[in-house]
Amino acid sequence: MPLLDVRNLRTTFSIDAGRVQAVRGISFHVEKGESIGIVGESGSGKSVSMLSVMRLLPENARIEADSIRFQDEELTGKSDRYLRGLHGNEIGMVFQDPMTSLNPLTRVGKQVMEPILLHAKASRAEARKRALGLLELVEIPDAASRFRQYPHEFSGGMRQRALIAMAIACNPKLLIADEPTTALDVTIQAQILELMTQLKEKLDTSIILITHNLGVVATMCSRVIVMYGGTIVEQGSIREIFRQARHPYTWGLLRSIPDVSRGAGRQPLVPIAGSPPDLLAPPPGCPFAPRCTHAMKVCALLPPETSRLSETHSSACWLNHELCPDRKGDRP
Amino acid sequence: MEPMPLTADLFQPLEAGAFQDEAGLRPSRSYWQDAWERLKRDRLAILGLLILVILALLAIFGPMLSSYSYDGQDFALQNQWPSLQHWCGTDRFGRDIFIRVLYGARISLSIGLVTAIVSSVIGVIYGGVSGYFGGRVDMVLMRIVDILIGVPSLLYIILIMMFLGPNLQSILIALCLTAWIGTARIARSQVLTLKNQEFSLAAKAIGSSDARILFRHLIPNSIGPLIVTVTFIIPTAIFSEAFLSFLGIGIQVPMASWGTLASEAIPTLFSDPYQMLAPTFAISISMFALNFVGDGLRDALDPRLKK
Amino acid sequence: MFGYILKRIFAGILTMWVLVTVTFFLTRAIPGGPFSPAEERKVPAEVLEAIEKRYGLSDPVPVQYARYMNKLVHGDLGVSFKDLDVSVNDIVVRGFPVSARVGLLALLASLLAGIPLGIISAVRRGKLIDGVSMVIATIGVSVPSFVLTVLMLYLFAVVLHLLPTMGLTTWKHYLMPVAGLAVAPISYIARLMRSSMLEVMRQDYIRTARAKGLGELGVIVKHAVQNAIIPVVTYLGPLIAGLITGSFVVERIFSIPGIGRAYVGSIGDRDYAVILAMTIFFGALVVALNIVVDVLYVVIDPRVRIED
Repeated sequence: MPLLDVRNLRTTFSIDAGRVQAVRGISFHVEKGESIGIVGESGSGKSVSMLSVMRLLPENARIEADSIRFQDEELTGKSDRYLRGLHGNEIGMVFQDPMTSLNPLTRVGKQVMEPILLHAKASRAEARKRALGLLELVEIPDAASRFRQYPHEFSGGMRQRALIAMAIACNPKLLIADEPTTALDVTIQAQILELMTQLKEKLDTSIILITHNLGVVATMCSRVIVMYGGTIVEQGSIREIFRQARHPYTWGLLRSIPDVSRGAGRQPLVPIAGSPPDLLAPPPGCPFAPRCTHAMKVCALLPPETSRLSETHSSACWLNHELCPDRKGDRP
Repeated sequence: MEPMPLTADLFQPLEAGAFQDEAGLRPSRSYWQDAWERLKRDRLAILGLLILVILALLAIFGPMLSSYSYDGQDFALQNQWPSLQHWCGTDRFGRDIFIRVLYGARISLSIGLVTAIVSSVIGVIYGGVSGYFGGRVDMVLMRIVDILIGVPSLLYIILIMMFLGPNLQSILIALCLTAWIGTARIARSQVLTLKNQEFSLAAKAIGSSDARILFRHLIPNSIGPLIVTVTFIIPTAIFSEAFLSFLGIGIQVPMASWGTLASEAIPTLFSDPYQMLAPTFAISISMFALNFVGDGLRDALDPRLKK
Repeated sequence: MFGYILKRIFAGILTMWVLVTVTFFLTRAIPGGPFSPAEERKVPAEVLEAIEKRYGLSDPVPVQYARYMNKLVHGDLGVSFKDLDVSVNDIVVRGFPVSARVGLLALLASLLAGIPLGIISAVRRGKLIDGVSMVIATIGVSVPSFVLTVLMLYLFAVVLHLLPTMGLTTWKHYLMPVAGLAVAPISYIARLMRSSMLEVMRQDYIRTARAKGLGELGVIVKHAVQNAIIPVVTYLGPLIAGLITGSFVVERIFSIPGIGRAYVGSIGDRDYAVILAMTIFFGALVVALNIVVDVLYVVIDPRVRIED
């Protein structure tokens, strides 16, 4: 039984100009103790889908799903209050920009104590001890004096560590990390990711890592979900995605990773031409079709069916359909 | 709608250019056009503008079209309630209140305008110089501003009016001498921003298209807050004058400003309440209109609010 | 932090010095005033002599200035010209407590009414209460306070006979003056607080708080309000200045024996000594209170403290 099982999640936002279809029917699952990566460009819906599961979206969002099951409990009918019981408790979340994610007027230690006081019904003294321990766990140097400091006295990397500490404070089963390192220096990035891997092993937490960086996914995750235009275009194990990808968008992503290991042969970086689809009035058919070099007539008319290529590997592309000549599903 | 049957020919490659170029779904407009569009949609601001225009027209042409004059005393007509001959009634000297309110409009509106213009000029020069030269000059000039802000401007205004005597000119001078500080600060910060762009400006001057873009975006962005600040000076000035006249420190009788009219109406408030209505209504509605227009301008000119 | 306070005090002293000097020289230059040549003044000779002697007006200007500064530093504000027995200190001592009472009540009312109103309007944005509050608030900032005060007086005292029109003897007497002073600040603070709350609620750290499991109330009380209130603290300075100038009007309308009324009266009487002294008093009051507000701001926002 998967830890998290999402079926047909759809999220729309109403704005002046109409309804933006940010997430257009995605289904995926996360097993206990596994870490998966969700990759896609800005606007692909990767963040919105996780925020939808957590119900952390603004008021103009409408979230619908056939089913969202967490630890075999159906979440879709539950009250907001029930979900709040999960937040910071069984499900922890880390966001993208550490510089603005902490309350500037409250001491850091107190903010880390907050989820503990809220969910674990601990006394203030206990909570303080645990929070201090958490700061040490995320390797913040001199944790005791840092505890009483304010966010502006922390560097970006340290703030992110503190935010991670807050997210894991109550030993969550699931940690969702939305681009946790995008706003940080490359060297700090590596440290934070390293930290997250260690924590995962120590606490046996499942991790959903949202990122636009395939390289990061390769190091940290066992499975990958590729999103585009509010849909999942392909998902599979690391090996399957990196070696046997069966979707033109994934091919494009893979081609645009600078690969130093290839040696002297200078592979040109091949970007994907075009721009993301307008989610206000998405065209019929496959969202990637306008930018796809393999597009066929059917791609412009009908959204592709999802083909199961293995137990873990599936791809939403007409190229994989039996009617497609030459079975051009293989990576060129 | 029944699902479309899948046939082999659908799996033929798509012709190039099958998708329309979605680049630029929204036509790009210049900053000013954008702002004007936004302003037009702000109904309160348009209402405010309308009110101001009507007021101005009334103030300019009203007295000419009426048979009454603002100081025509007629003791037979004392303290009359509003009627067809006297739309707002008469005061204790038998003067028509409506006409006096219109004259008051001339005074109040011109005070507002003149103060706004003159003090902005002073402010822009002061702030511009301070920002442009920077360093010691900036520090000294800003120090002076800090000191001047420390005390409520009303105190300075009263002092100046003591010195110059209570009349229209002295109010104007006093107001102009105190209202420039806000514009000075804005002007200074805009100049500082412009200065920081200077290097890129110089570099791109060679490829002058970039310079033109900078001018098309930088200057409008700088002027925006300035325009808003200046717009808000007008109601503040009108309010200050009304306040002073109300207290008896401003314009003296028999000249009528809205403030003096309101002040005159107090002693007879209980017996002739209508005398207070016209001037207070006039003040209120112009404040409303000016605030709406100011708010509208601020929203329209704010580049962050592009929908 | 201590250095910051010292800096502000020094700036305040500098401001006061400028005010005093400007005031001093301005009042000397007033035509027809007590410091101008004897021919201009239309006052009988004996009175002139008495005034001259009392004020040492025949001494050279720098000497007069020094003497005045000396007196000021010792807390002596001088005496009235109209009635040489009345010292300005007396006027202040008599009138200030009265004005302060009304002013403090108005300050409390402004904060206690304006802040929650703003918060509620922001949290219930778009709903009825938001619309109604904001309309009232717009009226409150647009219509000049003395207009509203007079209208209020008319409604409650004349038409309804509910409240008294003058003086400050019972608690009922306080209602309208305080309301008249507080209407504009409440409206301004409500609007300010509302937009500040809306801005704060969009911030990332609010999302973090929600992700920790905090409910709406917890988010508002524990994270949003403290951040949103900062612009209001900044506004306290102008607010105090506004209450002081507002008192001029309110005390006149309701015949309240405070220093505001004394000040306005002295202007009407052209009693320059009193005007001079009270201008300085008000200036000092504002400067001192502004220093307090500045310190308060630094206490509330830890980000500003790094300067030292």
